[in-house]
Amino acid sequence: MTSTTLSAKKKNQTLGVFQWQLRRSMGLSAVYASILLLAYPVVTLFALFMPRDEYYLSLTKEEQLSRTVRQLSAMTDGITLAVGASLMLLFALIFTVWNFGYLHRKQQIDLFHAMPISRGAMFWGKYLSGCLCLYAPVVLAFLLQWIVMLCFGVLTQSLFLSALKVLAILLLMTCAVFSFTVLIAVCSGSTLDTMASIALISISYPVLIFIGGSVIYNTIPGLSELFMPLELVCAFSPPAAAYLATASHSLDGVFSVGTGFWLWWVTMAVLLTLFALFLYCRRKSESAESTVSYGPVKLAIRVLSSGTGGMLFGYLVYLATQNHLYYLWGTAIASLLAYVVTELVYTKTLRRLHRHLIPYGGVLLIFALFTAFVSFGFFGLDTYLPKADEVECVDISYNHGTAYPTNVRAYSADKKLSTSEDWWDYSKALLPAFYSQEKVNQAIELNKTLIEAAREEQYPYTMGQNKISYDLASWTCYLNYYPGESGSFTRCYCLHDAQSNASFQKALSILRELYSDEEYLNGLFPINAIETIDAVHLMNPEDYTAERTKLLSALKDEGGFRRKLESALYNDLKAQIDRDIQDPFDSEKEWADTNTSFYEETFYSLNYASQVSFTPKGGVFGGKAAAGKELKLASDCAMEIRKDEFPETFALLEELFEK
Amino acid sequence: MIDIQTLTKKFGSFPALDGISFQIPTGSIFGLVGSNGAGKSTLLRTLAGIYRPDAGAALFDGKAPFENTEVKGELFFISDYPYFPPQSTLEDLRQMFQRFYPNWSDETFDRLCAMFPLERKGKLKDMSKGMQRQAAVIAALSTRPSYFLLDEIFDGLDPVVRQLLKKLIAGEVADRSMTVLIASHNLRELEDFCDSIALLHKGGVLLEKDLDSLRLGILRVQAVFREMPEISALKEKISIVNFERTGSVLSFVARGNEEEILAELKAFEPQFYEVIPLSLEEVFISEMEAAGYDINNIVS
Repeated sequence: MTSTTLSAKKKNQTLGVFQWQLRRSMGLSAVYASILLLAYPVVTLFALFMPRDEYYLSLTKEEQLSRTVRQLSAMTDGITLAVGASLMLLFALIFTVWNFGYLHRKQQIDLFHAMPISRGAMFWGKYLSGCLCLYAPVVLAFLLQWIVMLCFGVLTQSLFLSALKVLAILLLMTCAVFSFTVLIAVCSGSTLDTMASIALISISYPVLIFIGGSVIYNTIPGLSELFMPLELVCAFSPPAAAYLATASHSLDGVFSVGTGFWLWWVTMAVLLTLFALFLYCRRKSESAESTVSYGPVKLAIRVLSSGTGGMLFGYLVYLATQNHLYYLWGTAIASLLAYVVTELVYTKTLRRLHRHLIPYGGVLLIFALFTAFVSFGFFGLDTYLPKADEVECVDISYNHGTAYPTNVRAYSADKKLSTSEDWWDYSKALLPAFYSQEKVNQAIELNKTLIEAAREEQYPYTMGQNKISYDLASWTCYLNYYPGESGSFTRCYCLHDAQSNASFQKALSILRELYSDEEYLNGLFPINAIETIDAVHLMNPEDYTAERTKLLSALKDEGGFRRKLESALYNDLKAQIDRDIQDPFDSEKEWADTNTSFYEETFYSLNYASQVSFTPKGGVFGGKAAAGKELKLASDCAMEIRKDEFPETFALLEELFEK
Repeated sequence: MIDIQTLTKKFGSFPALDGISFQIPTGSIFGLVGSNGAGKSTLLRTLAGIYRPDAGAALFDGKAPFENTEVKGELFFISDYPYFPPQSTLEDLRQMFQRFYPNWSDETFDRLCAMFPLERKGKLKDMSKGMQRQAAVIAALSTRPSYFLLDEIFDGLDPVVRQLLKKLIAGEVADRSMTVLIASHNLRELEDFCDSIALLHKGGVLLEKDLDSLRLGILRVQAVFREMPEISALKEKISIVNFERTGSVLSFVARGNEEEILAELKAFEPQFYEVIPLSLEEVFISEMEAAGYDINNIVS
């Protein structure tokens, strides 16, 4: 009975605070609503009233509707990213100060904390009123936008669902951001400290992840791409998550709002709110107007921001000097300066700096530990490889020195050859791959040997050791592991000075063995897509008018010629690869020779046609086995056949044109 | 009754209240004096449930006020600089307080509004400091508190309003047995108003007594002698706290019963003598000096 009465009393208190606070916040909420109404329904109205161009008018009714819906959907996404998310962050901050700013002023705290209202009821009343004031304008703006769309007959189900998702993201992130800013306000002694802390956390955390990821990427051999998952960036930063989530439509493939995102941020919003409540109920009233309310929180923010500032500067120093030692010194000095700046921000004086310097030791210690962890491979990140039985196939591309990639790249630049099935996705290429368990094991063995070679070059690792370089003196090898259905796992080794390295020599011999394997050679694009060759051109650099073409379909024995061509290409490519592996670093001469003779020699060009479908014999396409699939090239491409690079093929083609 | 038991409140390592203990009977007016930083405001805030004590307790009829809405509903605290929400009026205060204070009385509110020269719909922020305090008092007394905690309430009030306020509070004490705790650094403000008084210094209570017993136990005597007696001889007979001699006139403050002191004085054959009432300040000075303190360093 007593408990019921108490509970009812608390509900009444909460309701009282909620209503009182709501009445005082109406003006602010109206300002927020006004801006959102201009941004959503009014802009939509203008967009729908806009005169149509001739192209639009020439479309059918269905096509016009489809085009309008696409435009409105893109417009809503754009407005939400540019205006909705920014305003939400701004007003979350304003309502935090408006509703909880009293915690930072002694006079106000004397009034509110002396009143017969429990801390819990006070918190919920103010928090819920803040939520409502932030939610109502957003919901109203979207509702009016939908009404406008409905009146113009353009509110299709897909447009409604797309806008509903945007609204749901905005509402969820509003709750998370508001809980976060309230939590920081509770932990701060003054409004200025609240602002400073929110700014420091919101900027420092994503920057720290980016710099940390860059340091790891630049240091640990084998990493093929920047170690910076956006999910981690937004996992603990509500403002960053709000922006990324509202921008997810334009970040297709890089960041998406899936079930994990919803679950994570619902949980985080609840946890942030409960943690804010917990600290609010235990907050000392005398913290008002002091430098801090909860010391450890301020300490954590100072350590985070000084560490981030230091590492950012250290990284910039590294980029300018390419020197590991300068990076370390740059970080240490800049983090100290950043720490002094945070001392000024939080205490407004440097008089007690000497007494507050101890936590700076923590910054240095954390940095030293991070550097040590990264130098020793960051918990085995350098040696991690998938197990052989988890790998369906492996493709190994040895990027430098072979004539084959140079040759093909001369036509298709850096993008890989795609097929019409996924013509927009340049990451999907038809690549040679190893499927047999024996070869997969051998590829893993090669990878382990390359790790050893990298360690023999420098261990513990230093910054710059993993710099993927186009320097001709370096040697680069990519290994892509495809574990069945889900994505791929890539390792890339760029060795600069490994010629005398025993492990490197061992790696070359494994590579030679792998590359001389029939499965690999048949998977090379020139052979794998041989069915698509429809013509051979004789190219005379001195007289292009003398260019001659032989159509394969015009040959008497087309099948016999294709078999001969395949065999000649096979032998030439095998010989080339052998040659390159024999002398992996002596490529400048070859490159120079190739270039000087480029404009002088007569050569042949094999045309791989996009109209002809073909069935690859092997290789991997889009992470899946390509063998047996019917594919088409996205566009025509040509392969040069020069006498010194492809002697057997060249002779065959010479013979063809002599006939 | 307010029972303060070895109450301690620290700000960092600094003890603002250092284990103080005393009791305030129900229906009394208790004065709290002390210089700036003595701990008066900290004590009031702790009693109002704003601060949580670090040790000891402050109990209102056996109940601690911190996070106790039942106790807080029975008390009202007016701080030295009362706060009003921006743009609020007396009417807004009524709406805010009547929602949370169980004993709120519209009748009292209306009566007090009529009594003080204030606009009910005037913006409180635009009012003078004295008028703001009057507004705070109107709101406070309308909650009909059982315990009324006031910090430097007379600051900025003109003499007429000051007397009106004293009269109002005295009336509430008489009618409803309201208990009042009033802090001031000015002893003269409290001497005609309080039943008991405590002197705070550096977080501790130097003295705590009811005013009647303070005044009864000490008196100032002025006497004229043809031949000035030896002071040491006088001190043997009378408990003299301090004295001043000017020619044939001796003025002294003595502790004890008035009749007994005068009987002893007559034995030294003064030509003339009279008993002069002591001001509260003088009583305090005497008491503090007797206790070995230099009062000038304690009370501003």
